[in-house]
Amino acid sequence: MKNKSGIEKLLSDVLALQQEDGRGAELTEERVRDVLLGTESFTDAEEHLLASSPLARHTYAAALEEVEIEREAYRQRCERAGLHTSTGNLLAAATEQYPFVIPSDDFLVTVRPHPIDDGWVITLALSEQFRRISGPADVLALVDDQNVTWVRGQLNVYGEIHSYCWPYHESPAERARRPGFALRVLHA
Amino acid sequence: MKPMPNIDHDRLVELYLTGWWRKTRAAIVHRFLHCSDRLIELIRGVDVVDEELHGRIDTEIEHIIIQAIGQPWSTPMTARQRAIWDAARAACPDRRILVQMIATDRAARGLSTIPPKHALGRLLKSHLDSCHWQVLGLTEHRARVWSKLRRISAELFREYQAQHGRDPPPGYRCSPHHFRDIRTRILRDDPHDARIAEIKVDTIEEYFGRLCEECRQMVSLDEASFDEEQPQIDESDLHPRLIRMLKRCIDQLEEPLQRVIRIAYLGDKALYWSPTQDTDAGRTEFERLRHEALRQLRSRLDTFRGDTDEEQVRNRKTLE
Repeated sequence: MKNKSGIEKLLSDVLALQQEDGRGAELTEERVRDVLLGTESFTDAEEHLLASSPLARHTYAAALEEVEIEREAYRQRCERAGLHTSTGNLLAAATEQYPFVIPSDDFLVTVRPHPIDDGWVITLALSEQFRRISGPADVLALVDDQNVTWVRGQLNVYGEIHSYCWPYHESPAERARRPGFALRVLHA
Repeated sequence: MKPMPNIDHDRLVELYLTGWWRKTRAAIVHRFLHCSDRLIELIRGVDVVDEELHGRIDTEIEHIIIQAIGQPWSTPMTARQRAIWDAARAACPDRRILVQMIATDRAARGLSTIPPKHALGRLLKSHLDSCHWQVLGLTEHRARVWSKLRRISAELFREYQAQHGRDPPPGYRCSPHHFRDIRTRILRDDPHDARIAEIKVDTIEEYFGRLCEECRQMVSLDEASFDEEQPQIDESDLHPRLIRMLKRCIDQLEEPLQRVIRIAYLGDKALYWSPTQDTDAGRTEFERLRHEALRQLRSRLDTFRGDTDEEQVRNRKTLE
Protein backbone atom coordinates (compact mmCIF):
# COMPACT_ATOMS: atom_id res chain seq x y z
CA MET A 1 0.00 0.00 0.00
CA LYS A 2 1.41 3.39 -0.94
CA ASN A 3 1.53 6.29 1.51
CA LYS A 4 -1.71 8.17 1.25
CA SER A 5 -1.94 11.87 0.56
CA GLY A 6 -4.22 14.02 2.72
CA ILE A 7 -7.13 13.86 0.30
CA GLU A 8 -6.75 10.08 -0.06
CA LYS A 9 -6.74 9.68 3.72
CA LEU A 10 -9.86 11.83 3.87
CA LEU A 11 -11.51 9.67 1.22
CA SER A 12 -10.67 6.53 3.23
CA ASP A 13 -12.10 8.04 6.41
CA VAL A 14 -15.29 9.10 4.62
CA LEU A 15 -15.74 5.68 2.97
CA ALA A 16 -15.13 3.97 6.31
CA LEU A 17 -18.34 5.59 7.58
CA GLN A 18 -20.46 3.96 4.91
CA GLN A 19 -23.09 1.45 5.94
CA GLU A 20 -23.77 -1.62 3.82
CA ASP A 21 -27.39 -2.11 2.85
CA GLY A 22 -26.85 -5.14 0.63
CA ARG A 23 -26.80 -3.20 -2.65
CA GLY A 24 -23.18 -4.22 -3.07
CA ALA A 25 -24.41 -7.76 -3.75
CA GLU A 26 -25.46 -6.56 -7.20
CA LEU A 27 -21.84 -6.42 -8.31
CA THR A 28 -20.49 -9.87 -9.12
CA GLU A 29 -16.89 -11.04 -9.13
CA GLU A 30 -17.33 -12.09 -12.76
CA ARG A 31 -18.16 -8.49 -13.75
CA VAL A 32 -15.21 -7.09 -11.83
CA ARG A 33 -12.99 -9.71 -13.38
CA ASP A 34 -14.08 -8.75 -16.90
CA VAL A 35 -13.22 -5.14 -16.13
CA LEU A 36 -9.86 -6.02 -14.59
CA LEU A 37 -9.00 -8.12 -17.64
CA GLY A 38 -9.86 -5.20 -19.90
CA THR A 39 -12.73 -6.84 -21.77
CA GLU A 40 -15.43 -4.64 -20.21
CA SER A 41 -15.69 -1.38 -18.34
CA PHE A 42 -17.84 -0.40 -15.39
CA THR A 43 -21.16 1.28 -16.03
CA ASP A 44 -21.90 4.53 -14.16
CA ALA A 45 -24.19 2.61 -11.81
CA GLU A 46 -21.43 0.11 -11.03
CA GLU A 47 -18.93 2.89 -10.41
CA HIS A 48 -21.37 4.49 -8.04
CA LEU A 49 -21.86 1.17 -6.31
CA LEU A 50 -18.11 0.83 -5.85
CA ALA A 51 -18.00 4.33 -4.43
CA SER A 52 -20.86 3.79 -2.02
CA SER A 53 -20.86 0.13 -1.00
CA PRO A 54 -18.24 -1.56 1.21
CA LEU A 55 -19.52 -4.94 0.03
CA ALA A 56 -18.97 -4.00 -3.62
CA ARG A 57 -15.42 -2.94 -2.74
CA HIS A 58 -14.93 -6.23 -0.90
CA THR A 59 -15.98 -8.03 -4.09
CA TYR A 60 -13.58 -5.87 -6.11
CA ALA A 61 -10.70 -6.64 -3.73
CA ALA A 62 -11.40 -10.39 -3.88
CA ALA A 63 -11.52 -10.37 -7.69
CA LEU A 64 -8.33 -8.31 -7.86
CA GLU A 65 -6.55 -10.73 -5.54
CA GLU A 66 -7.66 -13.69 -7.64
CA VAL A 67 -6.46 -12.06 -10.89
CA GLU A 68 -3.08 -11.33 -9.29
CA ILE A 69 -2.77 -14.94 -8.13
CA GLU A 70 -3.63 -16.17 -11.64
CA ARG A 71 -0.85 -13.96 -13.05
CA GLU A 72 1.63 -15.38 -10.57
CA ALA A 73 0.54 -18.97 -11.26
CA TYR A 74 0.96 -18.39 -14.99
CA ARG A 75 4.40 -16.86 -14.47
CA GLN A 76 5.41 -19.91 -12.42
CA ARG A 77 4.04 -22.28 -15.08
CA CYS A 78 6.16 -20.55 -17.73
CA GLU A 79 9.21 -20.59 -15.50
CA ARG A 80 8.80 -24.29 -14.74
CA ALA A 81 8.41 -25.09 -18.44
CA GLY A 82 11.61 -23.16 -19.15
CA LEU A 83 9.82 -20.76 -21.48
CA HIS A 84 11.34 -17.46 -22.48
CA THR A 85 8.50 -14.99 -22.17
CA SER A 86 10.63 -12.00 -23.11
CA THR A 87 12.69 -11.09 -26.15
CA GLY A 88 15.40 -9.50 -24.04
CA ASN A 89 16.78 -6.26 -25.43
CA LEU A 90 16.61 -6.40 -29.20
CA LEU A 91 19.20 -4.91 -31.46
CA ALA A 92 17.95 -2.24 -33.80
CA ALA A 93 17.26 -4.42 -36.81
CA ALA A 94 13.79 -3.44 -37.89
CA THR A 95 13.58 -1.80 -41.28
CA GLU A 96 10.62 0.06 -42.73
CA GLN A 97 9.84 -2.98 -44.84
CA TYR A 98 6.67 -4.76 -43.84
CA PRO A 99 5.68 -7.24 -42.74
CA PHE A 100 8.48 -7.44 -40.26
CA VAL A 101 8.94 -10.15 -37.74
CA ILE A 102 10.31 -9.94 -34.23
CA PRO A 103 11.46 -13.43 -33.34
CA SER A 104 11.96 -14.90 -29.92
CA ASP A 105 12.61 -18.37 -28.52
CA ASP A 106 9.02 -19.15 -27.67
CA PHE A 107 6.91 -16.63 -29.53
CA LEU A 108 6.82 -14.61 -32.70
CA VAL A 109 5.50 -11.11 -33.30
CA THR A 110 4.55 -10.07 -36.81
CA VAL A 111 3.66 -6.51 -37.77
CA ARG A 112 2.01 -5.72 -41.08
CA PRO A 113 0.07 -2.74 -42.43
CA HIS A 114 -3.66 -3.02 -42.16
CA PRO A 115 -5.01 -4.07 -45.58
CA ILE A 116 -7.74 -1.41 -45.62
CA ASP A 117 -7.04 1.26 -42.97
CA ASP A 118 -3.93 3.27 -42.23
CA GLY A 119 -3.27 1.24 -39.10
CA TRP A 120 -1.30 -1.87 -38.30
CA VAL A 121 -2.05 -5.49 -37.61
CA ILE A 122 0.08 -7.02 -34.88
CA THR A 123 0.07 -10.76 -34.43
CA LEU A 124 1.42 -12.64 -31.46
CA ALA A 125 1.98 -16.34 -32.18
CA LEU A 126 3.07 -18.72 -29.44
CA SER A 127 5.31 -21.75 -29.80
CA GLU A 128 3.77 -25.19 -29.42
CA GLN A 129 5.08 -25.57 -25.87
CA PHE A 130 3.89 -22.10 -24.90
CA ARG A 131 0.43 -22.90 -26.27
CA ARG A 132 0.26 -26.07 -24.21
CA ILE A 133 0.52 -24.23 -20.92
CA SER A 134 -1.94 -21.50 -21.92
CA GLY A 135 -5.61 -22.29 -21.56
CA PRO A 136 -8.29 -20.86 -23.84
CA ALA A 137 -9.56 -18.73 -20.96
CA ASP A 138 -6.17 -17.14 -20.26
CA VAL A 139 -6.00 -13.51 -21.30
CA LEU A 140 -2.47 -12.73 -22.47
CA ALA A 141 -0.79 -9.44 -23.22
CA LEU A 142 2.27 -8.49 -25.22
CA VAL A 143 3.90 -5.44 -23.67
CA ASP A 144 7.02 -3.50 -24.61
CA ASP A 145 9.84 -2.14 -22.48
CA GLN A 146 7.75 0.97 -21.75
CA ASN A 147 4.98 -1.28 -20.34
CA VAL A 148 2.74 -0.29 -23.24
CA THR A 149 0.43 -3.05 -24.42
CA TRP A 150 0.73 -4.04 -28.09
CA VAL A 151 -1.60 -7.02 -28.06
CA ARG A 152 -4.14 -8.27 -25.55
CA GLY A 153 -6.66 -11.10 -25.72
CA GLN A 154 -7.28 -14.83 -25.73
CA LEU A 155 -5.56 -17.27 -28.06
CA ASN A 156 -7.43 -18.42 -31.14
CA VAL A 157 -7.26 -22.05 -32.28
CA TYR A 158 -3.97 -21.36 -34.08
CA GLY A 159 -2.34 -20.10 -30.88
CA GLU A 160 -2.42 -16.49 -32.09
CA ILE A 161 -3.77 -13.18 -30.90
CA HIS A 162 -4.27 -10.30 -33.35
CA SER A 163 -4.46 -6.64 -32.50
CA TYR A 164 -5.60 -3.78 -34.68
CA CYS A 165 -4.90 -1.00 -32.19
CA TRP A 166 -1.43 0.44 -32.49
CA PRO A 167 -0.67 2.44 -29.34
CA TYR A 168 1.98 4.89 -30.65
CA HIS A 169 2.18 7.83 -33.08
CA GLU A 170 5.44 6.56 -34.51
CA SER A 171 5.49 3.48 -36.75
CA PRO A 172 6.18 -0.02 -35.33
CA ALA A 173 9.57 -0.07 -37.05
CA GLU A 174 10.56 3.28 -35.49
CA ARG A 175 9.47 2.02 -32.10
CA ALA A 176 11.42 -1.23 -32.54
CA ARG A 177 14.62 0.73 -33.35
CA ARG A 178 14.60 2.59 -30.04
CA PRO A 179 17.41 1.67 -27.62
CA GLY A 180 16.36 -0.88 -25.00
CA PHE A 181 13.38 -2.07 -27.04
CA ALA A 182 12.04 -5.41 -25.81
CA LEU A 183 8.77 -7.31 -25.76
CA ARG A 184 7.38 -9.75 -23.24
CA VAL A 185 4.30 -11.91 -22.92
CA LEU A 186 2.43 -11.93 -19.65
CA HIS A 187 -0.86 -13.05 -18.18
CA ALA A 188 -3.14 -10.05 -18.30
CA MET B 1 -25.82 -2.03 -14.20
CA LYS B 2 -25.64 -5.11 -16.40
CA PRO B 3 -28.90 -7.09 -16.34
CA MET B 4 -28.67 -10.07 -14.03
CA PRO B 5 -30.26 -13.43 -14.74
CA ASN B 6 -33.54 -13.98 -12.89
CA ILE B 7 -33.16 -16.46 -10.06
CA ASP B 8 -36.04 -17.19 -7.70
CA HIS B 9 -35.82 -15.90 -4.14
CA ASP B 10 -35.29 -19.21 -2.34
CA ARG B 11 -32.51 -20.19 -4.71
CA LEU B 12 -30.86 -16.79 -4.23
CA VAL B 13 -30.99 -17.14 -0.44
CA GLU B 14 -29.51 -20.62 -0.74
CA LEU B 15 -26.69 -19.24 -2.91
CA TYR B 16 -25.95 -16.53 -0.35
CA LEU B 17 -25.68 -19.26 2.28
CA THR B 18 -23.44 -21.54 0.20
CA GLY B 19 -21.52 -20.48 -2.90
CA TRP B 20 -21.81 -16.76 -2.17
CA TRP B 21 -21.38 -17.16 1.58
CA ARG B 22 -18.34 -14.87 1.61
CA LYS B 23 -20.52 -11.96 0.46
CA THR B 24 -23.09 -12.62 3.14
CA ARG B 25 -20.42 -12.90 5.79
CA ALA B 26 -18.73 -9.69 4.61
CA ALA B 27 -22.05 -7.81 4.74
CA ILE B 28 -22.87 -9.09 8.25
CA VAL B 29 -19.39 -8.28 9.58
CA HIS B 30 -19.47 -4.82 8.05
CA ARG B 31 -22.94 -3.99 9.38
CA PHE B 32 -22.14 -5.39 12.82
CA LEU B 33 -18.92 -3.39 13.13
CA HIS B 34 -20.68 -0.28 11.89
CA CYS B 35 -22.96 -0.46 14.94
CA SER B 36 -20.32 -1.59 17.41
CA ASP B 37 -18.88 1.71 18.74
CA ARG B 38 -20.76 1.47 22.05
CA LEU B 39 -19.76 -2.14 22.51
CA ILE B 40 -16.10 -1.30 21.87
CA GLU B 41 -16.27 1.51 24.44
CA LEU B 42 -17.98 -0.80 26.93
CA ILE B 43 -15.18 -3.37 26.85
CA ARG B 44 -12.19 -1.15 26.11
CA GLY B 45 -9.34 -1.82 28.55
CA VAL B 46 -11.33 -4.30 30.69
CA ASP B 47 -9.00 -6.91 32.13
CA VAL B 48 -11.53 -9.34 33.57
CA VAL B 49 -15.13 -9.54 32.39
CA ASP B 50 -17.28 -9.98 35.51
CA GLU B 51 -20.86 -11.19 35.59
CA GLU B 52 -22.36 -7.72 35.51
CA LEU B 53 -20.33 -6.67 32.49
CA HIS B 54 -21.10 -10.02 30.89
CA GLY B 55 -24.79 -9.09 31.02
CA ARG B 56 -24.23 -5.60 29.61
CA ILE B 57 -22.16 -6.98 26.72
CA ASP B 58 -24.93 -9.47 26.02
CA THR B 59 -27.53 -6.69 25.93
CA GLU B 60 -25.36 -4.50 23.70
CA ILE B 61 -24.78 -7.35 21.24
CA GLU B 62 -28.51 -7.96 21.16
CA HIS B 63 -29.04 -4.29 20.19
CA ILE B 64 -26.37 -4.55 17.50
CA ILE B 65 -27.89 -7.71 16.03
CA ILE B 66 -31.33 -6.07 15.88
CA GLN B 67 -29.90 -2.99 14.21
CA ALA B 68 -27.45 -4.71 11.88
CA ILE B 69 -29.39 -7.81 10.91
CA GLY B 70 -32.93 -7.75 12.27
CA GLN B 71 -34.20 -4.61 10.58
CA PRO B 72 -34.63 -4.37 6.79
CA TRP B 73 -31.46 -3.05 5.22
CA SER B 74 -33.25 -0.55 3.00
CA THR B 75 -36.65 0.24 1.57
CA PRO B 76 -37.39 -0.79 -1.09
CA MET B 77 -34.99 -3.68 -1.66
CA THR B 78 -33.87 -5.29 -4.88
CA ALA B 79 -34.21 -9.06 -5.24
CA ARG B 80 -30.57 -9.60 -4.31
CA GLN B 81 -30.70 -7.19 -1.39
CA ARG B 82 -33.70 -9.03 0.02
CA ALA B 83 -32.01 -12.39 -0.54
CA ILE B 84 -28.73 -11.42 1.13
CA TRP B 85 -30.68 -9.92 4.04
CA ASP B 86 -32.71 -13.13 4.44
CA ALA B 87 -29.48 -15.15 4.28
CA ALA B 88 -27.92 -12.89 6.92
CA ARG B 89 -30.90 -13.45 9.21
CA ALA B 90 -30.59 -17.20 8.71
CA ALA B 91 -26.88 -17.02 9.60
CA CYS B 92 -27.41 -14.65 12.53
CA PRO B 93 -24.58 -14.85 15.09
CA ASP B 94 -25.25 -16.46 18.47
CA ARG B 95 -24.81 -13.66 20.98
CA ARG B 96 -24.03 -15.98 23.94
CA ILE B 97 -21.06 -17.41 22.05
CA LEU B 98 -19.95 -13.95 20.98
CA VAL B 99 -19.99 -12.74 24.60
CA GLN B 100 -17.81 -15.71 25.55
CA MET B 101 -15.41 -14.98 22.74
CA ILE B 102 -15.13 -11.31 23.74
CA ALA B 103 -14.65 -12.29 27.39
CA THR B 104 -11.59 -14.38 26.49
CA ASP B 105 -10.21 -12.08 23.83
CA ARG B 106 -7.73 -9.45 24.92
CA ALA B 107 -7.42 -7.83 21.52
CA ALA B 108 -11.13 -7.10 21.19
CA ARG B 109 -10.96 -5.42 24.60
CA GLY B 110 -8.19 -3.11 23.43
CA LEU B 111 -5.46 -4.86 25.42
CA SER B 112 -3.13 -5.51 22.50
CA THR B 113 -1.68 -3.58 19.59
CA ILE B 114 -4.52 -4.71 17.29
CA PRO B 115 -7.32 -2.16 16.77
CA PRO B 116 -10.28 -3.52 18.80
CA LYS B 117 -12.70 -3.18 15.90
CA HIS B 118 -10.40 -5.24 13.71
CA ALA B 119 -10.19 -7.90 16.42
CA LEU B 120 -13.95 -7.90 16.90
CA GLY B 121 -14.41 -8.33 13.15
CA ARG B 122 -12.07 -11.29 13.17
CA LEU B 123 -13.92 -12.93 16.07
CA LEU B 124 -17.25 -12.44 14.35
CA LYS B 125 -15.93 -13.82 11.07
CA SER B 126 -14.58 -16.89 12.81
CA HIS B 127 -17.86 -17.38 14.72
CA LEU B 128 -19.96 -17.02 11.56
CA ASP B 129 -17.81 -19.54 9.72
CA SER B 130 -18.13 -21.92 12.62
CA CYS B 131 -21.96 -21.67 12.52
CA HIS B 132 -21.84 -22.07 8.77
CA TRP B 133 -19.82 -25.28 9.06
CA GLN B 134 -22.08 -26.66 11.76
CA VAL B 135 -25.05 -26.25 9.47
CA LEU B 136 -23.41 -27.76 6.40
CA GLY B 137 -21.31 -30.36 8.21
CA LEU B 138 -18.17 -32.09 6.96
CA THR B 139 -19.48 -33.67 3.78
CA GLU B 140 -17.54 -36.22 1.79
CA HIS B 141 -16.79 -33.53 -0.78
CA ARG B 142 -15.33 -31.27 1.90
CA ALA B 143 -13.26 -34.11 3.32
CA ARG B 144 -11.77 -34.73 -0.12
CA VAL B 145 -11.09 -31.04 -0.68
CA TRP B 146 -9.38 -30.87 2.70
CA SER B 147 -7.21 -33.85 1.88
CA LYS B 148 -6.04 -32.16 -1.33
CA LEU B 149 -5.38 -28.85 0.44
CA ARG B 150 -3.31 -30.65 3.07
CA ARG B 151 -1.28 -32.38 0.37
CA ILE B 152 -0.50 -29.06 -1.32
CA SER B 153 0.30 -27.43 2.00
CA ALA B 154 2.70 -30.24 2.91
CA GLU B 155 4.34 -29.88 -0.50
CA LEU B 156 4.90 -26.16 0.11
CA PHE B 157 6.44 -26.92 3.50
CA ARG B 158 8.78 -29.52 1.99
CA GLU B 159 9.88 -27.09 -0.71
CA TYR B 160 10.55 -24.38 1.86
CA GLN B 161 12.61 -26.76 3.98
CA ALA B 162 14.60 -27.91 0.96
CA GLN B 163 15.30 -24.33 -0.05
CA HIS B 164 16.02 -22.78 3.36
CA GLY B 165 17.11 -25.74 5.47
CA ARG B 166 14.46 -24.98 8.11
CA ASP B 167 10.71 -24.81 8.62
CA PRO B 168 8.77 -21.73 7.53
CA PRO B 169 8.35 -19.12 10.28
CA PRO B 170 5.81 -19.90 13.03
CA GLY B 171 2.32 -18.90 12.02
CA TYR B 172 2.94 -19.34 8.29
CA ARG B 173 0.51 -22.27 8.08
CA CYS B 174 -2.31 -20.07 9.37
CA SER B 175 -1.38 -16.98 7.39
CA PRO B 176 -2.95 -15.41 4.31
CA HIS B 177 0.45 -15.89 2.60
CA HIS B 178 0.10 -19.65 2.94
CA PHE B 179 -3.48 -19.59 1.67
CA ARG B 180 -2.42 -17.51 -1.34
CA ASP B 181 0.53 -19.83 -1.99
CA ILE B 182 -1.88 -22.78 -1.98
CA ARG B 183 -4.22 -21.01 -4.40
CA THR B 184 -1.29 -20.18 -6.69
CA ARG B 185 -0.16 -23.79 -6.58
CA ILE B 186 -3.65 -25.04 -7.46
CA LEU B 187 -3.79 -22.71 -10.47
CA ARG B 188 -0.28 -23.71 -11.49
CA ASP B 189 -0.59 -27.48 -11.15
CA ASP B 190 -4.26 -28.43 -10.89
CA PRO B 191 -6.22 -25.80 -12.86
CA HIS B 192 -8.61 -28.47 -14.15
CA ASP B 193 -9.23 -30.32 -10.90
CA ALA B 194 -12.98 -29.97 -10.46
CA ARG B 195 -12.76 -30.24 -6.68
CA ILE B 196 -10.29 -27.49 -5.96
CA ALA B 197 -9.76 -25.41 -9.11
CA GLU B 198 -12.50 -22.96 -8.19
CA ILE B 199 -11.94 -22.52 -4.48
CA LYS B 200 -10.68 -19.07 -3.61
CA VAL B 201 -8.31 -17.83 -0.91
CA ASP B 202 -11.15 -17.05 1.51
CA THR B 203 -12.52 -20.57 1.24
CA ILE B 204 -9.07 -22.09 1.74
CA GLU B 205 -8.79 -20.00 4.88
CA GLU B 206 -12.17 -21.29 6.01
CA TYR B 207 -10.98 -24.91 5.61
CA PHE B 208 -7.81 -24.27 7.58
CA GLY B 209 -9.69 -22.31 10.24
CA ARG B 210 -12.07 -25.22 10.78
CA LEU B 211 -9.92 -28.28 10.20
CA CYS B 212 -6.26 -27.44 10.79
CA GLU B 213 -5.40 -27.98 14.44
CA GLU B 214 -2.60 -25.40 14.37
CA CYS B 215 -4.87 -22.69 12.89
CA ARG B 216 -7.66 -23.46 15.34
CA GLN B 217 -5.26 -23.20 18.26
CA MET B 218 -3.93 -19.95 16.86
CA VAL B 219 -7.37 -18.37 17.01
CA SER B 220 -8.31 -19.74 20.41
CA LEU B 221 -4.96 -19.08 22.09
CA ASP B 222 -4.09 -15.68 20.90
CA GLU B 223 -7.60 -14.84 19.86
CA ALA B 224 -7.93 -12.04 17.37
CA SER B 225 -4.36 -10.88 17.88
CA PHE B 226 -3.51 -12.94 14.83
CA ASP B 227 -3.63 -9.93 12.57
CA GLU B 228 -5.33 -10.83 9.39
CA GLU B 229 -4.07 -9.31 6.21
CA GLN B 230 -7.00 -8.46 4.00
CA PRO B 231 -6.67 -7.95 0.26
CA GLN B 232 -6.21 -4.24 -0.05
CA ILE B 233 -7.40 -1.84 -2.67
CA ASP B 234 -6.60 1.76 -3.01
CA GLU B 235 -9.88 3.63 -3.11
CA SER B 236 -8.37 6.57 -4.94
CA ASP B 237 -7.11 4.32 -7.75
CA LEU B 238 -10.42 2.54 -7.92
CA HIS B 239 -12.49 5.69 -8.20
CA PRO B 240 -10.50 8.45 -9.87
CA ARG B 241 -13.68 10.50 -10.16
CA LEU B 242 -14.31 10.14 -6.47
CA ILE B 243 -11.49 12.44 -5.45
CA ARG B 244 -12.91 15.16 -7.73
CA MET B 245 -16.37 14.64 -6.25
CA LEU B 246 -14.96 14.76 -2.74
CA LYS B 247 -13.22 18.08 -3.45
CA ARG B 248 -16.52 19.53 -4.63
CA CYS B 249 -18.23 18.24 -1.49
CA ILE B 250 -15.57 19.93 0.68
CA ASP B 251 -16.28 23.23 -1.06
CA GLN B 252 -19.96 22.83 -0.19
CA LEU B 253 -19.31 22.32 3.55
CA GLU B 254 -20.23 25.19 5.81
CA GLU B 255 -17.76 26.85 8.17
CA PRO B 256 -16.16 25.87 10.47
CA LEU B 257 -16.49 22.31 9.12
CA GLN B 258 -14.69 23.16 5.88
CA ARG B 259 -11.83 24.77 7.77
CA VAL B 260 -11.52 21.78 10.11
CA ILE B 261 -11.23 19.39 7.16
CA ARG B 262 -8.61 21.59 5.52
CA ILE B 263 -6.59 21.68 8.73
CA ALA B 264 -6.99 17.97 9.57
CA TYR B 265 -6.39 16.51 6.11
CA LEU B 266 -5.18 19.04 3.60
CA GLY B 267 -2.22 20.49 5.45
CA ASP B 268 -3.63 24.01 5.86
CA LYS B 269 -1.83 24.46 9.16
CA ALA B 270 -1.95 28.23 8.80
CA LEU B 271 -5.73 28.16 9.13
CA TYR B 272 -7.02 29.33 12.45
CA TRP B 273 -10.29 27.87 13.57
CA SER B 274 -10.95 28.85 17.16
CA PRO B 275 -9.46 30.99 19.93
CA THR B 276 -9.58 27.88 22.14
CA GLN B 277 -7.85 25.63 19.63
CA ASP B 278 -4.83 24.93 21.83
CA THR B 279 -6.82 23.92 24.91
CA ASP B 280 -8.14 20.43 25.76
CA ALA B 281 -11.69 21.62 25.24
CA GLY B 282 -10.69 23.09 21.88
CA ARG B 283 -9.14 19.82 20.76
CA THR B 284 -12.24 17.88 21.81
CA GLU B 285 -14.42 20.31 19.90
CA PHE B 286 -12.12 20.00 16.88
CA GLU B 287 -12.57 16.20 16.89
CA ARG B 288 -16.34 16.58 17.22
CA LEU B 289 -16.40 18.94 14.22
CA ARG B 290 -14.14 16.63 12.23
CA HIS B 291 -16.52 13.72 12.77
CA GLU B 292 -19.49 15.86 11.83
CA ALA B 293 -17.70 17.00 8.66
CA LEU B 294 -16.89 13.39 7.74
CA ARG B 295 -20.52 12.42 8.31
CA GLN B 296 -21.72 15.24 6.04
CA LEU B 297 -19.15 14.44 3.38
CA ARG B 298 -20.23 10.81 3.40
CA SER B 299 -23.88 11.65 2.90
CA ARG B 300 -23.05 14.19 0.17
CA LEU B 301 -20.88 11.66 -1.64
CA ASP B 302 -23.67 9.08 -1.49
CA THR B 303 -26.00 11.42 -3.37
CA PHE B 304 -23.59 11.80 -6.29
CA ARG B 305 -25.31 8.92 -8.11
CA GLY B 306 -24.27 8.91 -11.76
CA ASP B 307 -23.31 12.52 -11.38
CA THR B 308 -20.74 12.77 -14.14
CA ASP B 309 -19.18 16.06 -15.17
CA GLU B 310 -21.47 16.35 -18.18
CA GLU B 311 -24.53 15.74 -15.99
CA GLN B 312 -23.32 18.37 -13.54
CA VAL B 313 -23.15 20.93 -16.32
CA ARG B 314 -26.61 19.91 -17.54
CA ASN B 315 -28.04 20.11 -14.02
CA ARG B 316 -26.55 23.53 -13.47
CA LYS B 317 -28.02 24.81 -16.74
CA THR B 318 -31.45 23.45 -15.77
CA LEU B 319 -31.26 25.26 -12.45
CA GLU B 320 -30.23 28.51 -14.12
